[in-house]
Amino acid sequence: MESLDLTIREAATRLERGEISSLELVEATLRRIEATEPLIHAYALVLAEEACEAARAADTEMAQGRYRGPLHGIPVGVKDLCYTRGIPTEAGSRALAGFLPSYDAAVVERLRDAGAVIVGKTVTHELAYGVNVPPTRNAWDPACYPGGSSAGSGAAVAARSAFGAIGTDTGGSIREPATLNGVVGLKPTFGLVSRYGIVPLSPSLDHAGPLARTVEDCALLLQALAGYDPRDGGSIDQTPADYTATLEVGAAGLIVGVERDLFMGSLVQPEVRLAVEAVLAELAAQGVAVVEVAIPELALMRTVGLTILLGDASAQHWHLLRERGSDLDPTTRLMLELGELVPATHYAMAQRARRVLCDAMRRTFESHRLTALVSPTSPSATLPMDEMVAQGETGEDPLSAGLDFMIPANITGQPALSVPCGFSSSGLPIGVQFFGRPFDEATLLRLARAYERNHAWAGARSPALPPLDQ
Amino acid sequence: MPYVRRSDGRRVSPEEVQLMGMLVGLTIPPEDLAALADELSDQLASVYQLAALDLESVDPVLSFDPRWPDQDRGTR
Repeated sequence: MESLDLTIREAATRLERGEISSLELVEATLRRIEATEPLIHAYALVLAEEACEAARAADTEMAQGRYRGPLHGIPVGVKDLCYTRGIPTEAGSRALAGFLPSYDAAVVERLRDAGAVIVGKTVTHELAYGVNVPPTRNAWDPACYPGGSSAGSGAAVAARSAFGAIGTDTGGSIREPATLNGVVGLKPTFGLVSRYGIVPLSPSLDHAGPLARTVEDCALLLQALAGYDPRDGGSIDQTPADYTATLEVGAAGLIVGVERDLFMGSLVQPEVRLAVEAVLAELAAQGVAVVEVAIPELALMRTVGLTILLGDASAQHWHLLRERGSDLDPTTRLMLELGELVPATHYAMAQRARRVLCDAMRRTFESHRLTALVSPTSPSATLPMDEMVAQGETGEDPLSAGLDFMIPANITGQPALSVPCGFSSSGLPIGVQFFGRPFDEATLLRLARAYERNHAWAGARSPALPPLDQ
Repeated sequence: MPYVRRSDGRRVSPEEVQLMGMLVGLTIPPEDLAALADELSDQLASVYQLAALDLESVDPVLSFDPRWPDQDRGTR
């Protein structure tokens, strides 16, 4: 089972050399799923037979010298929001029980083309709305919230029941489970990764992207996923960069910004703030310039994002609410009802305010020549499920407060990457977030890698889960 | 969720929510009415934050392209 401790890059190297087979990796992953699922419930569906068959095919291809690249033969999970041909895709909802898509989502096609082996569909909050309680539990403490809505993807990667996974992100749904489970999660630039065949929530806020244990593994997954797709109306015809070419160049000479009023204020747990300050100090020691910036417009991000999301999601699921409303979780149903009652004028005002926010972010990056804006990914480490929705002294509950830190990147469309940066005194993961320039994932990944390579966070294993040799 | 209140502090009642639901062709289950009235009151109040901006001359985001004007388009 030590093979499960390998990163995608390490496993790929061994596969290419013939030192290990894809079938061995898949069988070890399936045994790990069996050992960890009773605790974390990361998978909605495990595809054991299909995965073994795909692994055998990958091994045959590699033996014949037809090596497809670093994802060939690698076991991955896919969020159960992504269509899989002939395989149930239920989006965490009783209202979609038994739905069998007739085609694969673009991200699934691209993973298959790259030779990756899909071992299962990972649990999502219902319809990716992020308001109900999913069965998934945090990989570091099963009593705690796993993040969402890509809950299963985050927990599975942390538990080593997948080498990497696909998530989707409309208001932080890749980055939150990444930070709360101690893995890396990337919401790419809007338009870079196709959303074709993914159950939609909001056409201009939805994104798809990777979760993995290391920055490099995220880059490898992004390389396979990125690219124009005319079947997605939001896809943008811009040639993807080489995301691994400059990973090890280092960060000296880059400039990062910190917005302390919103991102380092009283909402942030002191130990989270300390961890992010330590990241900034380390980057500065590597030759990165750290500058203070002020973006007061950030305070409006949640209002703008939610107003757009409410209208979009209710328009998307208009029929589902009327025809299958009683099958929806009451919390999801309430949000869909709410979206129907928000005036169209408010939606239109939010789309105008969105322009103001995009301009404010662009001006800040340009005037300070920023590579990235740095913040905590979430203001707190994970908490027990009931505490996530309990209002604190500030009148905020941690679940809602987290939106302020993540939804800005969904509104502006810029890339945002969450990277582990330590543990709380209770041994729970903390993450730092880097917002980048549109389509500049390569520099963002390079910056994150410069921080990551001095730390062994990716090698840390949860003591709450069975050891890998069981 | 914690939004600013409407400037007149008025809250939407469950009865009003039920009526609004009827107007948009939605039968809202009775058990949802009170929570929905609370959420809707907060959501409606939040627009006052946006109204504080001068939005009259701003083009809304209609089709979304996150690239910045001076950015190399790099298209094929």
